[in-house]
Amino acid sequence: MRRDEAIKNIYKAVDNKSVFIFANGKISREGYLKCDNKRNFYMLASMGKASSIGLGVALNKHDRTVIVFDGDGNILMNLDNLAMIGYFHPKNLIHVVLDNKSYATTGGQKTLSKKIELDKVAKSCGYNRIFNVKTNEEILTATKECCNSNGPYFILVKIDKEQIEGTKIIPYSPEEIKQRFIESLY
Amino acid sequence: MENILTSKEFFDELISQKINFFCGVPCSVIDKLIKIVSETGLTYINATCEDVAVAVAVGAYLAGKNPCVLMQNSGFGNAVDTIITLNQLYKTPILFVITWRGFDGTDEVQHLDWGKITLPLFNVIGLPYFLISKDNYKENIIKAMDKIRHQNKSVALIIRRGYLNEKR
Repeated sequence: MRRDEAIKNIYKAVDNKSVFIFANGKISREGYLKCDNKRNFYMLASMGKASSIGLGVALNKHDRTVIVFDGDGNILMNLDNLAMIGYFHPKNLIHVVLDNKSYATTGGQKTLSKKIELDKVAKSCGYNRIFNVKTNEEILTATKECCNSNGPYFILVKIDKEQIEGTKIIPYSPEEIKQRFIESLY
Repeated sequence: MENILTSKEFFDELISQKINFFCGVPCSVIDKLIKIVSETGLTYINATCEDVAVAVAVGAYLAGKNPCVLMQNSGFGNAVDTIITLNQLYKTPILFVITWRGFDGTDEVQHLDWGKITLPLFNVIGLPYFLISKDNYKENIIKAMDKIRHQNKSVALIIRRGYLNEKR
């Protein structure tokens, strides 16, 4: 599965009040290209912190489902976020890790994820349910099961290394990204 | 001893300025302050690292909270990139309470280098700060919150050992 397909499938499966935190790099850029929305927060830098931001939103907006689109390089940079989320246990958080075993944005250098079972780490940190998916159908089924506010949920999605064409730098200023995201939470 | 600000006085002023979300990593200088936060039933997120604390606080800000992040100056080093490329870049203002270990050159040896570079580092990254004492804490907290509310700027309140009561 390609990264953009995984993002689109999850986007389709959740309700239209859900909000999304996109990790920096290709994840934000493909999210912007394929499903731009004011409910998207595009992280431009601060690598490793997408799930920390998601935790801060989820703990303070119980009536919204918060979906974090993370990457393997991102989560490995702050594996402690899994402990934070397991411990503080936001029921409305869905943590998606798009795993291509590489730093795709910087040229495809390999990450550690080939040997690290991220789903098992999430499990031992106390996430309520863990899904390990590879196909469109599996991702839709898993996401629908995550929409009942009994999380936190962890969805590990194996994605291809293949890159889609046409991604570009997010055109919004950081303040625009912030402002429209805040407005979408009113 | 009369000149020492109590942690309760300091905390009460933060609350009166509508701070309603706390997050951070401990330092012994603010041990009592953290206990007070936890005991009042307010949310205190004990973070794994200062960078994560800042990002969680940014998330809380996006969700409508007025966050305060507590840390030691050495931990500020851990948080610098997240402050620059998330907190400052998106203008999501946060009130920092940062202890300044090594400020007068008399602290434990591991704090001395950080003691020297702490204020210059704040200046380099453009983080405004106020040194807190019993005499000025109210006006400085008000000034800090004014910058947060009207200039969208994060501000640090600096706590030196001996200026805030630590033990019960």
